[in-house]
Amino acid sequence: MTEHSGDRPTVLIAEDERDLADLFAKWLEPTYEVYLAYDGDEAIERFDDGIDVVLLDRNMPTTSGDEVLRFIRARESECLVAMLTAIEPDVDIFELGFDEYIVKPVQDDELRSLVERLLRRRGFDDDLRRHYQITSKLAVLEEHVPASELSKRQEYQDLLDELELLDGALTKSTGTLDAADVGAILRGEIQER
Amino acid sequence: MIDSNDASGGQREHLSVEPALEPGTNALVVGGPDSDALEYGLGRLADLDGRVTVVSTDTTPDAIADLADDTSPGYAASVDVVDCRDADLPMVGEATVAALDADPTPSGLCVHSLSTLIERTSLQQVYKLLYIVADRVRSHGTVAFYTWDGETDPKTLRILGRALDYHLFLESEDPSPLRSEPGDG
Repeated sequence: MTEHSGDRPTVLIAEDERDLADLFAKWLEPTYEVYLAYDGDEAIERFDDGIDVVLLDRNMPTTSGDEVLRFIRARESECLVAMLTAIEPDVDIFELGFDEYIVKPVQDDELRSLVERLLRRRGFDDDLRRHYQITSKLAVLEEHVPASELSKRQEYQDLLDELELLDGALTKSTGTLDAADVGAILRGEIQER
Repeated sequence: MIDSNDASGGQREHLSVEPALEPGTNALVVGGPDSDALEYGLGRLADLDGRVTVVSTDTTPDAIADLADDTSPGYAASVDVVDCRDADLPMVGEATVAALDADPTPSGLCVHSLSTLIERTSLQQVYKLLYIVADRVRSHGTVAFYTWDGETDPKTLRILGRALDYHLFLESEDPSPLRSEPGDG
C-alpha cells in the first residue's frame, strides 16, 4: 500500500530499468505525486485504490506487466493504466484491459501529455456519468409526478441546478476531447460492465 | 395548439410548425418501426449548403445514396456515409466525432439510428455518446438529426431528449412531423 500525501493526482511508475523509471519520475514530479516500482511484485505491493494512473512496463522480471494489469482490473479499480513498453502490440493485447498502449521510447512531453489525457478523460467520464444519473431520475419523476407538484420541491430544483453546473463543466471539457478520447471514454464504460 | 411543459414544472410546448433549424441544432426524429425517420432527416438536410454526413448503424451506404437521390436528384453526391453497421458504440462515437472534426466540417449530420444503438449497448452509453456528439454539433454549427425508429418509450425519449434541442414526431403514413417539442438541450 502507498501513503498519499496531497491533492495532486497520483502516478505509479512500474519499470524495471531503474534509470528510465527515475527519468519518468523526474518528468512527472513537478505536476503529480509519483511512486516508483522497479518490478511487478513491488508494483502490486505499492498499488492501492488511491492511485490515479499506472504507467506499466510489460516486460518485467518476476511478475510481468500483463499480470500486474490483471491484478489491478481484478480489484475493479477505476485506476487508469497505460502500458509503456518496448513490446510492439500484437494479437495478445486483445485480452488486456489497458487504457493506452505506448511503444517506447517516449519523450517527456509525450509522457506528460499521456498522463494529462488519461486524467482528463476520467474527469469527463465521472461528470457525464453523474449527468446521466440525474437525467434518468428526472425522467422518472417527470413521467409520474405532476409538474405542479415537482415545481414545489426544493430537491427537484437542486437536481436541475446540479445538472446546469455539470453542463457548464462538461461543455468546457468536451471541446478538449478528440475522437480517440471519445472512443476511450465510451470503451471505459464497457470495461466497467 | 399549445400545451406548455418545460423543465421548471410547466407543460411541454407543442409547436404547430416544424422548427427552423439553425446551425448547431440537434433534433431527435421519432418514428415507429417502418417509419421514414431517415428519409425525413435526409430531406431536411438537403436544403443545406455543404456536405452531409450520415452515420449509419443499420442501413447500407447504397440504400442511403438511393434515398438521398430520391429526395433530390444528385443529392447523394453531397452525402458521405460512415458505415457503422458492424461497429460497437465506442467506434460509432469515434467515427462520428472524427466526421464532425473533419475539414471541412459537414453542414449536416444524421445519426441513424439511436434505437439500433440502444439494442446493441445500453441507454446510458448511448446517452453519453449523444451528449458528446450534440455538444460537438453545437460548437461546429452543424445541423444534426438523430433518428429513432424503434418502439417508442416515453421515459427513454425523455432521457435522450435532455441532450438535444427538439423532438420531432412522425406518423408512419405521413412523413411530415405531427408534433415538434423543444428538448432540454
